Amino acid sequence: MLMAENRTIPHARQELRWLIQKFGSNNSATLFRACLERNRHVPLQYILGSQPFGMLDIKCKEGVLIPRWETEEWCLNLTDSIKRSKLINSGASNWKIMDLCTGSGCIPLTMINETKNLFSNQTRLYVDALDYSPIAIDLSKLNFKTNFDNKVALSQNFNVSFNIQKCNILNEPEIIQYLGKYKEKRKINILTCNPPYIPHHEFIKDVRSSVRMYEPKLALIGNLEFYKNLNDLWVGKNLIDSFVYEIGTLEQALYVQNNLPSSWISGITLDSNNKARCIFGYNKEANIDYSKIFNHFKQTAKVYASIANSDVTK
Amino acid sequence: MLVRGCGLRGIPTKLPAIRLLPRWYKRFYSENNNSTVLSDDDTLHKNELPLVLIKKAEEYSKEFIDLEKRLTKGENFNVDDQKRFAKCSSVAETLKTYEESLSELRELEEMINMDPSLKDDAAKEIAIKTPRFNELSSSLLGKLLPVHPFADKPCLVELRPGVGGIEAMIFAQDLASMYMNYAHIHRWKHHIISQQVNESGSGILSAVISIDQPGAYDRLRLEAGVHRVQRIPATETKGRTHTSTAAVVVLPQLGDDSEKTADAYERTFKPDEIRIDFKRASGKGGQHVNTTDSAVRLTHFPSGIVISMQDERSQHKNKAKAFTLLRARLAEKEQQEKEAAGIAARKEQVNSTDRSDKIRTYNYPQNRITDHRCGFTIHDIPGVMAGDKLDDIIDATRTYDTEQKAKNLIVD
Repeated sequence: MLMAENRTIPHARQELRWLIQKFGSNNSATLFRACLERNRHVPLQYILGSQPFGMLDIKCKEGVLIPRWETEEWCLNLTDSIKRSKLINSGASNWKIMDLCTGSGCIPLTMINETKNLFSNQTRLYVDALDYSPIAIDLSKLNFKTNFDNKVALSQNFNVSFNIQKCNILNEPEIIQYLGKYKEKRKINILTCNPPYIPHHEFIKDVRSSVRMYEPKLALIGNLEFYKNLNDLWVGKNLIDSFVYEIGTLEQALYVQNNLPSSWISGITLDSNNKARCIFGYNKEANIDYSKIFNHFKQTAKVYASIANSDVTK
Repeated sequence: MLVRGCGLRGIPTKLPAIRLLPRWYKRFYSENNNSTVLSDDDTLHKNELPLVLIKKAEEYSKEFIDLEKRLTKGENFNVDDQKRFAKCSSVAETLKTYEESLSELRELEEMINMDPSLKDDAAKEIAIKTPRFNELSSSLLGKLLPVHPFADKPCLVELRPGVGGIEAMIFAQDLASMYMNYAHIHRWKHHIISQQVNESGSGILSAVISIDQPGAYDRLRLEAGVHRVQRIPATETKGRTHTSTAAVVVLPQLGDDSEKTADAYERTFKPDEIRIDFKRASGKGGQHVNTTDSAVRLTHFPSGIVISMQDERSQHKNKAKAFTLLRARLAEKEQQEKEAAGIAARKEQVNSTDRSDKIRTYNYPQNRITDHRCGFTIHDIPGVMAGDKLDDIIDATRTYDTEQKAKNLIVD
């Protein structure tokens, strides 16, 4: 029954093991129902209710995108680069990281978890997560609770604060109004985002049925909207110092690169499956030397070197 | 000496635990002409250590006195000196009590020779004191022998079927459950790190069990080797007895398998020494698919070790586990190379207990388990497989190992 989603028998067996681990082998009715759901292409993460992401266990619910390993990979890469840059210890200023289209909250929560020890009495880490979907807002709140106990415990032990806000990111006035609420109008040090990046024409052709049928289209289908928003609003209005965006196709990255101001340095990284996966950029005129972070980020991930290298785009 | 198992096959027999007396009791005895046979009972054999070893122990106690002098002068000891001091002092102490106990026994023996009227009393006294003396002498011997560098470590037990097809896989599974029962009986924390089940039937293709008890490696390291089984397999239709084998590898566990230690350990490798492969489906990736495949393959080029791990849903955990295994295998390899070099230097082919082939036979029709290294036999397969009689075999092999090591020490 599990073979519908799994191409080989070992994979199916492995999945059955995980299902048994969750539901127990003696409760056959529940187990059977779970297998039946799997047969109908329900993602395993929705059936089991969670997906490991870095050190965290991220809860998954229908209506919110399941964290992908590609995201996990670059996210841990980025936190590792931040740790190695030693920028946080040296400058005695607060840091602000914002994540757009946060979904399950996997990116900002991993950011907190990995870097929380760097922040001492003098420096504070502000992490903001924005999403348009109310289900995603609820789930990211739940994920925060399950992974960090509660807000009080986190802010007591570490100099970190976390904030989740429902916001339409593409609506410029709404964003500016939201940012205006902040008393300290601090610039955002790092903006991360995993926007919906599957173009409409690819959706039927290239997307797995399990994704197509059960994961939210809101978090999947999109093309240049968010990248345009990045260039026009976040970079254009000088709200951020640096960014990391996940990408689906190289055109999206090139679009961003071509529209960046000349003071910005950018690069494209590959995932371990050799697909173009991330675009990053930083303002070289910023107060902090972000090259310390992103040079390492570049080294750890394979960098998309030559645009002429056509097999990457395939 | 051996009690014959009278139980029928398949019925657990409640035999008393048989402990074969270490053969070196007798061996060393023959090298010492000054001790006399007191009774037919083996337990009353006074078990003196050969002179060479006593001399070695005396060297330790001399060093102990020197060190103590230095200490009283108010010299500062560094860590190595402190370790040395602790070792010397414990050897010196044991040697002292050993010699006291020995002279007491000698006096008693003399008394028997001189005054026959006291014979009974003296014999009684000797009967009481000899076991205590033997304990002392073996503890002194243990202290003189070099301690295995990983003796205090927890361990990993790896099982793989050998020849014999499905029956070998079933046997490997039996052994896996035997070690888990053993750990369970000792209340040692243990868990299965990975297990690949035979897809077309019963048995396992491989299993790795982690036994998290410190010192478990020292206890179980002599279990490593090829285990042979002789029985009528469940798969056999004509009732013939088959012979199959399974290999057991026992590795010291140097760090726990949490992600953090694995991360730190990963950094000790040069980037070109190691390659980490993730199984990745072709296609667009990213938001287009939601894969559940988290398999990790680790290749260590200098040693040629390849480790695959896919049991966990988290790729991170798989990677961490793979690194734990790699670390254990490398450490084991290094240790083996060291030992091999030591043996070569001695220019002596020792029939080492560590890695001899086919170390043990499990004969089900006779309800018998024989360890080929020390010749120890026990007639209680169910008891051993349940884990509670395994200790008897382990004790026997350990004694044999100590004996071998003591021999080497004398040669040195």
